[in-house]
Amino acid sequence: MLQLIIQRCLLSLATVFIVTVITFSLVRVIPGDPAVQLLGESYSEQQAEVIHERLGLNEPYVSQYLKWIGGLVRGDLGTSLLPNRQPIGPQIVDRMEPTLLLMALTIIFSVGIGIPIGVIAALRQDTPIDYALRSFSILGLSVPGFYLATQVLGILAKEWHWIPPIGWVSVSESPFEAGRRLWMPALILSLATGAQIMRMARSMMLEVMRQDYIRTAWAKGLSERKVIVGHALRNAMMPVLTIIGLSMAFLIGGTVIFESLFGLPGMGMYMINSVIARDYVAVQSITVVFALGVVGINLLIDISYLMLDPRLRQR
Amino acid sequence: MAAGRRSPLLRNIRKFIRTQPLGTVCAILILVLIVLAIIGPAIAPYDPAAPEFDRLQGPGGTNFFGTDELGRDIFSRTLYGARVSIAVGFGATIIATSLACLIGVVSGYFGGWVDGLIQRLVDGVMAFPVLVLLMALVVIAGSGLTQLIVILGLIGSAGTSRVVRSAVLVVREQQYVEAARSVGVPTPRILLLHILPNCFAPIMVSATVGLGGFILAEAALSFLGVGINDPAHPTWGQMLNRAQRFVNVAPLQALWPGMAIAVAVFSFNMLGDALRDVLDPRLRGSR
Repeated sequence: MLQLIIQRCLLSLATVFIVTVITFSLVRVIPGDPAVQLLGESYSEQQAEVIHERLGLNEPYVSQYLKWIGGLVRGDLGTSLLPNRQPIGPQIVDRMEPTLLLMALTIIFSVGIGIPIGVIAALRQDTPIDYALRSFSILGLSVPGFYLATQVLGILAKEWHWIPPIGWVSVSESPFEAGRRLWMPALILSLATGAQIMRMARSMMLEVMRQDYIRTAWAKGLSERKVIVGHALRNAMMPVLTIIGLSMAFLIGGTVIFESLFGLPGMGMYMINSVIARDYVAVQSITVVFALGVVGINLLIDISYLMLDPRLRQR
Repeated sequence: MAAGRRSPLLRNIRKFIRTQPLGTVCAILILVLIVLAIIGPAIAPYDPAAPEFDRLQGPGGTNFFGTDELGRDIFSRTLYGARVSIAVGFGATIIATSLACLIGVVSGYFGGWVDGLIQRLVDGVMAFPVLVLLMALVVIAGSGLTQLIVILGLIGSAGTSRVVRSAVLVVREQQYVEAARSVGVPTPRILLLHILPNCFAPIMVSATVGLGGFILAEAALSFLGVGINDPAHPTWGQMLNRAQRFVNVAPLQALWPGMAIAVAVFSFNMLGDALRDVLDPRLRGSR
């Protein structure tokens, strides 16, 4: 067991290494010069040289990489390219709360919507209910969340003169105010992830319902409730955890969009502002933090798999 | 190909239409979209970039879909937007799928440390949220149409390569592959003529669903204002971005590009689903 966990951790460490190498290479391998993007059309060689110097782009790659990784480990993510030259690490930490809360609430909503609907669709397989729920889920996957949010905001503003509360209030100050800012974006965002979870829950449920132990459970006369909740659901839920892990990356993309739509000052908003300002040091740092977060969450999910499923432990 | 009465292609298409009505509707929608994208400039009533009309008009009269905040014809702009979406979708899919075939076949067929190394790389790429990686790359490479297609294709290849690899793992154990190997067929020939064609079904499904994803990604990026920004080349995401600011006065304005994105993505998703049902009987009824 411990050995398996250590093995998983080492594998994740390898992924972390690749992630940092990719992030590091972004600016150096891709054709295009960050200095040119920053300075625009009217740049001079001298100005570009100053920026190259500041970014350390003139040093050999290996020493650049080691320096960057060293900083990353210490939590030093460099300083912004903008005139204020703020350090990026603290900026990211300041903006984590809305992003993490939005993601957590979205996961709660999507599990709450996705699993019951998926189970119902599976239990009523190939009936009109099943088709309706499946089409609904495909619709949830297809209608872009940002379009839906635009329409909802538009209708709310027009009909009820409701606009989303502006600014952010920390949970430590007022959980109610924080919730008031989060529930709407989380609900709309959860339609897409909820649809994914629904599809997964449905297919897993269908698979489990055909297993021998379910037939046995029916045969020994257990109630429908006991068979479904006690036997089938418990076994069908494991892969749903994986889907949550897999949709992490997708979810982060969603929060980036929704933070800007609903005016939440999170990491996604920081990312967009940095992209627009061509502050590529900040972009690089936020990107690597997001990717490391995804790796970390997937590692946690893998480990909890090992803990929860006795079959995986027998080695 | 001779489309005679007994042509297997025609028979397969007939069967597809009979068993997958929703998939057929989606395939037709996609065909319409492609045709509109190609002949768009010929049938667009007005110049999509020219502010020639009253601003923020509702649908009707001279402008089917109304006009935007600068007085440009939304119908023409939506038509031109289809060109960008189709170009991005197909361009990125071609790049992603070709690259994914290469990566997946090599990784799956050779196995061992080659596979281990490649899979760690793929893990690494897939750890990045697509939209975030896309934005980071756009900062460096710029956000023109060509750059976007190449970037999306590169990012998308990671996921598809997984699909190809798992298909290759099954196919490489088949007897006909062993037979080819034992009579001394060179490896590249085995990969190209025996392995790849037999992985066609999952590759096709993955490409179809991926195409919708690429269209959505471009729309999201342009919606955020960091994608294709050139006002002379309207895209659906860009139109939505502008419409959102005037949603109080002209709520219908967002409807057209939004519906266009939704219909396109929905069609590709559903067609992918239908193809999966037809091509992979094992999964029938248990999606």
